[in-house]
Amino acid sequence: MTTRTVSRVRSPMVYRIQNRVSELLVHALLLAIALFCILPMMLILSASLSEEGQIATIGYGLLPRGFTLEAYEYIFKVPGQILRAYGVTLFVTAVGSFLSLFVMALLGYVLSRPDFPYARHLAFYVFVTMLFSGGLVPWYIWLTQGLRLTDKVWALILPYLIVPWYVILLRTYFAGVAQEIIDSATIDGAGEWRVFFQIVLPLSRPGLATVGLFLILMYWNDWWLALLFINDRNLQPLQYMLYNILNNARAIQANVAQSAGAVLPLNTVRMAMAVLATGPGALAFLLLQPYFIRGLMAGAIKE
Amino acid sequence: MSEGVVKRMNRRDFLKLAGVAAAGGILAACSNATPTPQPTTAVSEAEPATAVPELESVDLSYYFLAWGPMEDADMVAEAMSEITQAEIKANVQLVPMDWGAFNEKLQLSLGAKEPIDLMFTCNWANDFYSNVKNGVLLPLDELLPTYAPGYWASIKPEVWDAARVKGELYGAINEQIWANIVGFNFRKDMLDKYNWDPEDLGSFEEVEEYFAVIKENEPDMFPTGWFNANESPTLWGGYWGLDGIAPEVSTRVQDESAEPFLSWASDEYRQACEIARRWYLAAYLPPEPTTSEDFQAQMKAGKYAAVPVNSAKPGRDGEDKAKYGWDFVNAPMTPIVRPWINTNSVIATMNGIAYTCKHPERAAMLLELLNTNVDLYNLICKGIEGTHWVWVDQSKKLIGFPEGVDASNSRYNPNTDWMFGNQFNAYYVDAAQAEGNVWEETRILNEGALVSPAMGFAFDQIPVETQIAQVSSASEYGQPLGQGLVDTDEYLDQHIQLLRNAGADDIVAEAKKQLGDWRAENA
Repeated sequence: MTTRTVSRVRSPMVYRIQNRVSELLVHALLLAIALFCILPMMLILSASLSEEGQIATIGYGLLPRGFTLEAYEYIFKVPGQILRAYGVTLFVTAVGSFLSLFVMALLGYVLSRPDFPYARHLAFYVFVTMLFSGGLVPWYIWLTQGLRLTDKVWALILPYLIVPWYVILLRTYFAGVAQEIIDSATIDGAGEWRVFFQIVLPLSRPGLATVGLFLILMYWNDWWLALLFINDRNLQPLQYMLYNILNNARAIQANVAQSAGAVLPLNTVRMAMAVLATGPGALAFLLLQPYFIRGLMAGAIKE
Repeated sequence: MSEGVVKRMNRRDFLKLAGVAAAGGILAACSNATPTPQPTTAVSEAEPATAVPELESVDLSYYFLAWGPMEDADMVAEAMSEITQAEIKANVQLVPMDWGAFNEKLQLSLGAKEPIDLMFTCNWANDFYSNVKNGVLLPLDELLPTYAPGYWASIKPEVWDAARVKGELYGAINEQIWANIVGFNFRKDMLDKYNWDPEDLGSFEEVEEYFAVIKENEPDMFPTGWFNANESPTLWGGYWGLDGIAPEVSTRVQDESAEPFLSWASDEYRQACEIARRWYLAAYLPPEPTTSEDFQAQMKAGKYAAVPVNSAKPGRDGEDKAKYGWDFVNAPMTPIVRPWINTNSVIATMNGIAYTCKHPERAAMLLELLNTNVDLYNLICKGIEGTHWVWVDQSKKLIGFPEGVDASNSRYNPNTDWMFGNQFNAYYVDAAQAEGNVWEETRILNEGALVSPAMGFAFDQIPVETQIAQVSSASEYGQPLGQGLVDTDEYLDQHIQLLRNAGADDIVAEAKKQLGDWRAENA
């Protein structure tokens, strides 16, 4: 066996410098990518704190042009309204994603069990809705006249309760739980509910976390359901209310006989709305990140 | 084994559960929708002079666009109901809808047969022609003359024709500025400074003289600009007398035979592009088309000397003053043909009676009231006296906000008189408009306007759908030509050829055919 010798041997110091250089390059690249992500957010934040007139003449910048809170004042003119909207959205997101995750986990688990004889039929029943649907009008009639959900907060939660795509995802995750574990638990005397809650669910944390995050995003961003089913202004969720503020501002701007030259902060209002709509989500994610990672890794390492 | 027994039980239980759930679902579906309000029999007090025996009190709902703050809509509806109860024994429910909801949700509600009585419809929201095609509007030929005689007589038959589809009337037209009349709003301070009088302004060429003066003497200003990134002011049909009856097809308003032709191939369009190009090269226009928000901000900051207006109606200077902050002089231009009316301008705002309405005669009576009863009309337009507005000068019909209320905190300020009925019955909110008696002047303008020979003709796009789709994406030169961004001589012929290759001639032929049939029917 021939030993291969290194053609050129460099001194330890050269290696250290090489390491340092490559380290710096990688860091610089990552920093650039991070800046690409953060700078737009900072632009939005600064624009939301700027004066409308200055934005029109000078343009956007990283620092607020003429620091002012007028855009937020415009939105918070009736503070009760936006706080209520936040409340509605928080409730809908929390309850909706939890309930939806629970129901879909139940469904996915059942579909994943090979010893369930009707799994195929039930799966077909669920997944055919991905391809075919009764149409928009029948769905609307069912929800308004059949279930009478107009102006009820459940109208914002129930329609999205089961998303077939996530059910497939969860089913796959649950199928990954070895049948032996379930069998051994059953032999030890565990009933079906115990197996589900105490054996299978803890082992599927990554899947549940993924789907949970998608659900949170879905419920937080939704305004379509509010547009169709909510007429009561006290029950409007955040996104729909912001969407309306923007449209109304635009309409007023186009037709201002009675606004007596009031400067309507349109662009800055848009930016302020973006901050309000995405801010809490971003903040929550930042704060919850440690728990998230811990939760994700919990099932990964065998104890 | 006990385990097997347990398992079989579970299966049975599952089936039971599924059966109960399914039964519950079916039961819920079978239950009736919310019952409609029961009419209360009441002794009729005053018998109005219509043919309907007034025995029942009825609830009418009116769906329209919420354009401004409408928190007090219910309060206003109650005040309106007092009047309507006394007149036609009906209660009014106002349902203002936000933009998105109005276009999307209203269609679903109509499909779901929700009880909708009156609704706003036009050619830019809740599309009138789609509604007629889907059969959601009731024909008004018999309802209006019988139950809304005052309103019916107040509009000329030729104008009613605009809201007809295949001979049947479906839209209740709101009287407002109908005449197409194009012009500029010139900043008064600049006019005074350079001693230029826009009285009897003739044409775009005459305006150029003024623009040259501005360009020379005001280096920081542009003479005029685009108030919207897609607008081509020199191309406006209102100036040239071109009635756009179909995509890419126009007729000349003065042409009695209403011969359709390809708009871009006409002399008028060529001239318009040349004028725009001249202005662009002379830097009378800024180098880049601006969005409407940018233009508004720049105009406020004083960067332009004139605003092109696509409707230079009486009172437009006051409106633009409120929007931009400068004093303006309104200068309409009508060198080719006097102000004229066409289908699109008339159907820009109408109300319709939905097919789910249970009392169409009562709805028609409400339309009569909205268009003739000044108190009721101003209730819905302005709100309740004392709460939402107060008299400033009752003799001139001028109103203003009460103490402590203004445009930013008013709880009822729709600012859309044109949506609800005859705009000329509205009280003035602008002192200059009240002084100038704007409604009377506008009415005179409408009366004297030329009626386009193609009035009432509605082009059916289906036979040439593909060509229309192809033509709309055939050439990218349309907007730049119209805005003067590219050279006319170089690109106009190319543009026309591209349109022709994509099938524009088929559209013209189809328009010719449909127009011919329509004229034969309505001769």
